[in-house]
Amino acid sequence: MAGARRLAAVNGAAAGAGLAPGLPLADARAVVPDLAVAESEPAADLRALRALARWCGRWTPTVAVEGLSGTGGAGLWLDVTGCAHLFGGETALLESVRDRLAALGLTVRVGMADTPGAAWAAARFLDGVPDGGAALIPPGAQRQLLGGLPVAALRLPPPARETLGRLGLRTLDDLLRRPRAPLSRRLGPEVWRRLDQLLGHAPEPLAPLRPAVAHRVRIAFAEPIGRTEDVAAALDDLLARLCGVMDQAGRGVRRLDLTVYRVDGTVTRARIGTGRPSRDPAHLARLFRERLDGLDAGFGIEVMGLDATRHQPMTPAQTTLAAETGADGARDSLPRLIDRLVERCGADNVVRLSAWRSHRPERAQRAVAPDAPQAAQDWPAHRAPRPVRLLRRPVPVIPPTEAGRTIPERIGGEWWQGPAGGEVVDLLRVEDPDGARAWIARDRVGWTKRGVFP
Amino acid sequence: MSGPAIDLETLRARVRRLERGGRPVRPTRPLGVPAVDAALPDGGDGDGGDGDGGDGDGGDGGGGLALGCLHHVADGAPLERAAGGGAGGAALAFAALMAARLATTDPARTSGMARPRPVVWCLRAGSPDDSLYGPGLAALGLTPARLIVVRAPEAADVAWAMEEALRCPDVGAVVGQIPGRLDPAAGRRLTLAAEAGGGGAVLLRPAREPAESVPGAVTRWRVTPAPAVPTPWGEPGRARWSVALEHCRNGLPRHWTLEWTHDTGDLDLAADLRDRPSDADSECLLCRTG
Repeated sequence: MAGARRLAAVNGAAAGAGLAPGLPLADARAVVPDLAVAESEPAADLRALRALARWCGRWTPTVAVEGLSGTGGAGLWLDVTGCAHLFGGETALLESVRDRLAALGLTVRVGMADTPGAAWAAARFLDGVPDGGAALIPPGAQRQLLGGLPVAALRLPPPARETLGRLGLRTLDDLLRRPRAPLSRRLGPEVWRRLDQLLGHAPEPLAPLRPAVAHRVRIAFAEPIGRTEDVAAALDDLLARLCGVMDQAGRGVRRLDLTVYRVDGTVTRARIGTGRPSRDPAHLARLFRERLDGLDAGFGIEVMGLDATRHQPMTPAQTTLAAETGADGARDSLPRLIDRLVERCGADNVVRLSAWRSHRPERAQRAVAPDAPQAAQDWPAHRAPRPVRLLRRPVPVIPPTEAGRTIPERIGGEWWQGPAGGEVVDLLRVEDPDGARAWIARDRVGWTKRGVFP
Repeated sequence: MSGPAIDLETLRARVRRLERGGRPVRPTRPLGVPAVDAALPDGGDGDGGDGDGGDGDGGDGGGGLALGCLHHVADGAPLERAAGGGAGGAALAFAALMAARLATTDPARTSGMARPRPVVWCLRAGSPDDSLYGPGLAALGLTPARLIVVRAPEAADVAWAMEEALRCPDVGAVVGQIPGRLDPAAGRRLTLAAEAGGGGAVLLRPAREPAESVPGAVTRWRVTPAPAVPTPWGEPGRARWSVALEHCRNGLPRHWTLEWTHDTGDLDLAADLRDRPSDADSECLLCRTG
């Protein structure tokens, strides 16, 4: 039936009328003549799912997206290992997930279990879990509670499901009661792998949306906050805690991501970087200051998380003498100054003028980051003087007279660069009657001023 | 790793300030031209040299450019001639030289060697001034290892960046090119920042008529290019600058013609003026009126 339009998803009412995904649209219309249909947009669905996954970072940093192409429809995985106590236990966390997502207007089914496979099956197939319900499978209880589920709960591709159906194997218990060896040849390894993953006998790693972060702190507010001062105060708290964590780990922050979870289910981020590992809360707070002004709190912020997404080993801070001299007297005050300047002016705008291997004057200089290794290189010794300013755009000038000009310095093009290598130019140092000196060149257009001499 | 973070120099300065009854002592650095340094007051506010006026070059002048305060360099090159609207080469080079000399350690304190310290140059991104060229500045002493250029997005950010850099004790000197009108408070803010950080501030601005005064600046220099003596084979000779010290706290206005030798990096009185009697340079209008 290639080319037929089929249902991609149905809502509760449609499912109640007997429609299911995969049904040709014509058949569906035959069942429900006044069916409301909208074009399926898988790409937009995936975007929305990813946005939702980012927002789910308020519960755990490890969130994976199961795309629409998967068997059994799209979904989100949340690895809440070690996170449940933050929300008052597993049951409370499960209810929090269900209620928060329901508050966003979504119809959700939530399952929690020891393994991703069991949670997947529980959310989709467990009896007594209606739409908007939640199922908690206690540790080690997968076999008792999930044994009666249909084999479709194993996330199998359609051919494997059909084979199982032909063999009369309808539930997980049917499968578990059979010896494996005789069935393996007909079913292939996939069925047993999924079964083992469900029961926790085989590992199943998730592919999280964002890589796991080793150092993360979060703060949740009883009431959503919105004022910039409140956000700054919360950030100070987060920074102090994170710096304590980093101190114990013997590491310093190079990049920090502040994630703000708003009430309306959206997420915004602010990022700062430092030129040198740091764990000084005051310094990091100053870097964030510019960013906080531009932070849109929307209808209110309910959770803030701070991740050290890049960090480096850092020797323990010396607390005795450095503390007395204060932040300004600290040993690394120049790197801190550079951090502050970068934060306000942008990373491309705080630079050292470094030498580049080119004989073309306009290419001999490169702006590099202040801490770049090549920044310390000195300029090659020039026999001919070089200007203090090199104009970005040459300015047309009247041709100079013979008096007060030097022998031209001929500079060839970089022929190996092709047409981008530039033309041959003759550069002259000239002095006007008042004594101002310039670097002028003659090219096809005429005489132009290229630079300014002392 | 370097030693403890306590700054011995700060402590010494504090002790000296106590001894003088609260008046700040500004260490100085010589410009390197004895005639000019002699005209500048020494750091002790005329109290007699206690070796504070870092007279490392062995010149006869007791004074030099004061650290911890603001210097104003007025660019005498007319705007239409200053290429592309940016600063003229003579004033720019003079400001760079001043910054390079200000940003050196005191030779008396660092085992006889004047070590270079970092210089921060603040200007507005995209302005005509945003065209500094490293090789030329390196010849004036601002090597890439010590020069940090800050290209601020707005004029207000230039002043902010200057202030931040001046407050940093690691920075030896800060050069700023603030475009447009100068906020009267900016000069005083820069002075306060320079006092706090101990570095030197150089504000490079186009000259206006009548001469604009920057509040808080201890010196105002007007630097204009002067015609050089051509070499016998017709090329321009050493670059000459007409340097007028128009305003100097605790000093008198003076005027010199200085000569810059690119090959050696030397700044000196122009050759044909050098051997005249010392009052020969009083030909300038300023000195007669002042």
